[in-house]
Amino acid sequence: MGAWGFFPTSEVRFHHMTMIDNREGFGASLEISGAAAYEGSLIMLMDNKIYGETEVTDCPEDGSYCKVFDKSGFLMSGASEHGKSLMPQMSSALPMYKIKSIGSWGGVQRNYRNEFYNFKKTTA
Amino acid sequence: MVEFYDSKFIDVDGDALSYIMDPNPGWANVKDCGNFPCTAPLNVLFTFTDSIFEGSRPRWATPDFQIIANNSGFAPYIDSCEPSEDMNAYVCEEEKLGVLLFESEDDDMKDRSMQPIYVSKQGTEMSNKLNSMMDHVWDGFYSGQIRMSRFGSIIEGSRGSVYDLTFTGTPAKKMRFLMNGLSRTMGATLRIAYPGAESRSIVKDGTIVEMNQWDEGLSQYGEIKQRFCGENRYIGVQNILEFYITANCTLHIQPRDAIQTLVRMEWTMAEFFADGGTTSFVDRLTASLGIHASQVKIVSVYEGSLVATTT
Repeated sequence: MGAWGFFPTSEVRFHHMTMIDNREGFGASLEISGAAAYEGSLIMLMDNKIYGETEVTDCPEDGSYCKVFDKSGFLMSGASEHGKSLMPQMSSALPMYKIKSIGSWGGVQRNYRNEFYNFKKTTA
Repeated sequence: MVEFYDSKFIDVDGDALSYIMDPNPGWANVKDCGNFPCTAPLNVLFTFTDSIFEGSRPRWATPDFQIIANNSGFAPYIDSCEPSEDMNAYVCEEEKLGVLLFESEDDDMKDRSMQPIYVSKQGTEMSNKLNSMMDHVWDGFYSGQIRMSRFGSIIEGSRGSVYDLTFTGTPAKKMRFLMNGLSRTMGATLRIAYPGAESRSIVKDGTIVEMNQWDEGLSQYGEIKQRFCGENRYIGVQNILEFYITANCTLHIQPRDAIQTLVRMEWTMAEFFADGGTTSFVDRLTASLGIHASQVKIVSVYEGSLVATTT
């Protein structure tokens, strides 16, 4: 997947990044609970360039490989009350982007000036 | 709710702009969501403002639009929304879409269920069925059987909107409400029917918002005019709380230490007032209940036959 972060904070910003040919997209999650969650939390992704299909195909004509997956530019971000440790200790802790906790009250995601290139109905 | 501003789409097919997953049917089990899947994926809202399309573009491409989930209880009832099968979503041009958040503030907020809750807009067949948060409290193999009574509902808040929130479980005594939305003019009147006679108050910024003035013509508190966030009334006997909420306004519901009731008597107005009127009525009522007379307030007496409305 593209860049993904999980941070115990009330605000995170990803900016001026370039994502190409991602399977799960990129985004961020916040860990925020208690009174702080009601004060508001913000995930901001801005000035990023996200590419879907490129000149590099997923199935070249020479048949050397063929890996076709759905591709995502963004994966919906979110805020949750708790998170998992960096080193998962049980099978249910995978995959990492699935936080498995109650969603926080006030998470907001705002995205500014992001550019999306060449996303098609089917992957090439 | 996810907000996009000044996004640029270059050679992006309309069918590829998003995909919103349905709630996983496998979530419908005791360990996760109970009898039916959790409903957050059905209540997401993507708003796009000042978007730019270049190259190949969707036929509906426009600078300002919204994408909402394929929620059969909501999306088909919004006139400006069109279904997109490949996105499993609806594309809308309705700036007054938002997300209504509400949660229990009772001590048993994680132990007692209120769901399913149906959010229905009056005048439509809308019926958005809500579930609460998934049980994420796992202790090894077992779940914690702890679920937060917190709900998110997609909502359309054009002027005059009135929504009924029908709780199939007993509503929490204390609740918090917030309407997220980008339009400054969006808002909705929310109605909650309670199973008990105890009245409710609306609290905004730590202060109780007084109910609307009594309306002699209606013989009850004045109807909600959608004048300000927090405007409210409690309809006694029917036990319905009505309040108006606007975008980005937080309100709390809390019990009001009062029971609103209505007494109907086989008596003429003249006889009633000749026999002491409201003063004697209060004296007799409080004597029979064993409470102090200051705890009863008569807000109206009217013919119909003779009716005294008390709090």
